[in-house]
Amino acid sequence: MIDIHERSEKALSLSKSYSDKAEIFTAINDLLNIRIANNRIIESKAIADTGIGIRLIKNEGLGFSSTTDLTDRGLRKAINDAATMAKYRKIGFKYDFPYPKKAKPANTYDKKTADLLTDLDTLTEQAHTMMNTSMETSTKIAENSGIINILKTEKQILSTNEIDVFEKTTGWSAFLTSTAQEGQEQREGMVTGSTIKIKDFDPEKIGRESADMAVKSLGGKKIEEKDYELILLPSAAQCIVTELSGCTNPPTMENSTPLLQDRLGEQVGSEKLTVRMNPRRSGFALTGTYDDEGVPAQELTLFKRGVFMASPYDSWFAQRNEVEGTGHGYRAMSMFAGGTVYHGKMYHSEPTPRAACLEMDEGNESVEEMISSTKNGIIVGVVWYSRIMLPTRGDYMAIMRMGTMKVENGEITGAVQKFRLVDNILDLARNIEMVGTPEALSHWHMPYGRMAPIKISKARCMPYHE
Amino acid sequence: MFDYCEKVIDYLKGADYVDVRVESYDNTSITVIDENIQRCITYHKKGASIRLIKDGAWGFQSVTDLTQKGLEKAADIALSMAKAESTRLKEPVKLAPSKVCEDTVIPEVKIDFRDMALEDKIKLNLDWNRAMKSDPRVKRAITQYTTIDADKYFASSEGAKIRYKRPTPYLRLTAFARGKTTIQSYSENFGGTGGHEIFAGGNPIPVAENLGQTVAEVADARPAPPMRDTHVIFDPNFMSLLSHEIVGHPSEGDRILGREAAWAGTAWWKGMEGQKVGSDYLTVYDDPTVPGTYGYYLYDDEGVPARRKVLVEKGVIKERMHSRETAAMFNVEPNSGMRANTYEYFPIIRMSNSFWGTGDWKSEEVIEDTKEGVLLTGSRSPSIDDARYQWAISAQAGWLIKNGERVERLKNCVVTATSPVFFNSLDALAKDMKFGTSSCGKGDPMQIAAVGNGGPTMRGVATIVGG
Repeated sequence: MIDIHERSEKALSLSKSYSDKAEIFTAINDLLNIRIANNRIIESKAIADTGIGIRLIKNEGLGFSSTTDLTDRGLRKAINDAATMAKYRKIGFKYDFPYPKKAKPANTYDKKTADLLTDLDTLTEQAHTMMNTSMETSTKIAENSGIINILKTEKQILSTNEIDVFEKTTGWSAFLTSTAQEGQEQREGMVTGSTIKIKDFDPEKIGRESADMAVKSLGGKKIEEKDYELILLPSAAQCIVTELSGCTNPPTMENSTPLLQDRLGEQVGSEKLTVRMNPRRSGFALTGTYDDEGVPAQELTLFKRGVFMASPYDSWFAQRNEVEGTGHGYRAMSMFAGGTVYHGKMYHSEPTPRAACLEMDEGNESVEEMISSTKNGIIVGVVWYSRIMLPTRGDYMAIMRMGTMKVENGEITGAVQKFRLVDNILDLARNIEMVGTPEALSHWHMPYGRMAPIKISKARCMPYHE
Repeated sequence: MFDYCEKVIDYLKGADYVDVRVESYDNTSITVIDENIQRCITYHKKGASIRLIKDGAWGFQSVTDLTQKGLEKAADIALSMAKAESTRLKEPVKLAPSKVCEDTVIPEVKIDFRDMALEDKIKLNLDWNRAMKSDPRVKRAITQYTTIDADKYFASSEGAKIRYKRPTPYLRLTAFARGKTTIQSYSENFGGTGGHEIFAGGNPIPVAENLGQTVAEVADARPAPPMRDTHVIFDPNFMSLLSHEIVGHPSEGDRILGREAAWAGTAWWKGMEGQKVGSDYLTVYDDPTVPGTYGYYLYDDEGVPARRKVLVEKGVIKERMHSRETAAMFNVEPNSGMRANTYEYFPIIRMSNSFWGTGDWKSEEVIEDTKEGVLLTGSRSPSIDDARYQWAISAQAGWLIKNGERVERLKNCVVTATSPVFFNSLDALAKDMKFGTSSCGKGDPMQIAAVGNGGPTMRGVATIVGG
């Protein structure tokens, strides 16, 4: 067993002779994953991953290196590499690592969840319960596939600025896709869940609701190409909220998607849209008392009544842009081949700002009210492959994949086949006319935590052209 | 490193099958923005994965603790996983037989990044970044450079012993220009297995200079008009993403079997092997054995010798990509489709280099033969139906074609179609084959694989979503 604090102390002590300032980020990640397909468990797999990331300031240069070799020799090599990097990467402005601030501990750890990492019998049983409930819900259910993940992480952050943060987190994540069949027709339903505490995991509810969605989607008719009113249930609404929120990231804005560049303070969505980051309460992947630089995690309103209010910042981007840091420096998943992408603590990344743990504000309208006010619209349960296709103009596309039901003159009149949403993301945000009650909702790959159903007054929809 | 493998295999004598991968990775990553080094990092990682079958069920554990104690603990956990599931098994896992190999694979490297000092790499990156700004209309230039030096050891209880070194350099050049109304970007990617020769023969400066000029022109171009069911011509850079998304993914054996239905999706042409689904211009391969490509390997991560797979031939569906397990389910021979991102992950079925076969046309002849349509260059972002039946892909730019000539530059081009309609509309294919460079996300936990998909200039019918 590695003593995470002792190894971090050692790395900090060794770093001092190579640098003016040093920061150590050490992580232990344990992940267990059960994969379901064809109505059975097809794989059980686990990852045990420990590593250290070392960031140094030396002669106004900044260097970073990471390693899984936590022996003294391994640490020395990583420190030497970081110092070499600092020699060539000059910062170009006055930069310092964060200083310590106290924070009230957030609720991030659940022992019962952590214990499941070694209780495969229980987890296997729950996977079967999820599948079996789906099958028992309707004789029309032909297939189930899904995932259960259990994650435990420990992170230790030490710095020469006296940051000393240790934090443990747990999380579970599950989802099930049920396929209903009638003759040749097949339709799907999907339900996801993810929180810190395993007691929130209700495999029967996931199985039942997933099957329900699939069965109700049978007999769907093809839509016509035109503008519709859209009612997006929370797991569908998240796609627009997360895509738009992602555009507030300074590096995203500068390097790939400049949609919100120079628009701070501008009305970019309807007055119904308020979105904030709340890493202390919601979400799972990045929930914590502190961010990955050891700065207390804090609430940040990104959009208030449709106005673009703020961007998340880590210390580097904040000091470079001469703004106040917001305490949202995260070691991001690496989407480059060879990188690590599961939701552990990514010691091999430098901190970078990220819009995560997103929450929508409470709205006043219920889904029933949204339906009754709709003349010609569609309800959508699950969205797929949501993308800003043109990053400067915001042209947006997504497949409305599951739980798609036609609403006419205030009533649900039957299922429709999946279709493509083709619109502009800013227009969609501006056309949000109703918002409901948010519910806890998160997913392994997504940065949201509490999403509300929304009604969009006008959205361009295209059927599949056969 | 084979010692680690042998210790674990010996320890797990009670298992029905064991394979062990011990791998190390040395990565350097440099990002230059407007001649300033924004990012410059290294990482070193090393670990092992233990995959086994016991009583018909899989168990898997990866670990960074390579001590005897660490490996034994990992082996015990992998075994306990298999045991937990084996009591409830509906069908035991079966592996199709594969040739047991002992080999060492060391790819050819001409300009070796592993011998270069960091200072020299930084200097090159600054030069490439500066070259993009040789056109004064370029307002922002980004150079993203990464090298991975992987050293992989695979051994199995069947006796396989394979060492495979994999040096992969990657370079992405992106230039931004501000037009009268919007900012536009244009990117070029290089990546492969080898050294810096992968970057346009070792000198990407002319490409970088040309990129700056291109983006400046695109910034002031007219937005593409909507055009329903028009001729679309895709250049090889666009073909890289097209081949990947609409032929590669639905040819993966696990998708066909519904094993990816939960998240990634399925395949619309499930059960249609031997059927004709497109014109004679629809021939697509997946081939990991092409030297220098980003998806190059000679053994997959189950130790199966690599070979070319003919996915579709003259419009007829031929072959799927398989693991040993899915090959047994399809009653075919395994065909080297299994890869893991790193030692941390259970291997899954992946594309290597999926690419369209070539035709007889010259690329210019395809344009000259087109009365009206759009030439799409470079790819930006995909949005694809879960069964890969309906798709949309944005291009980096386009040209309006009239009477066989490029008459006007276009920006904001998004093309959409359904696969069977599009496949049947293909009516021209050139011989200017090019392998691209991209990363593909799949699985849970998600794995990002290096893939080298591509194709030649091609023409078909689809819809331009413009406006």
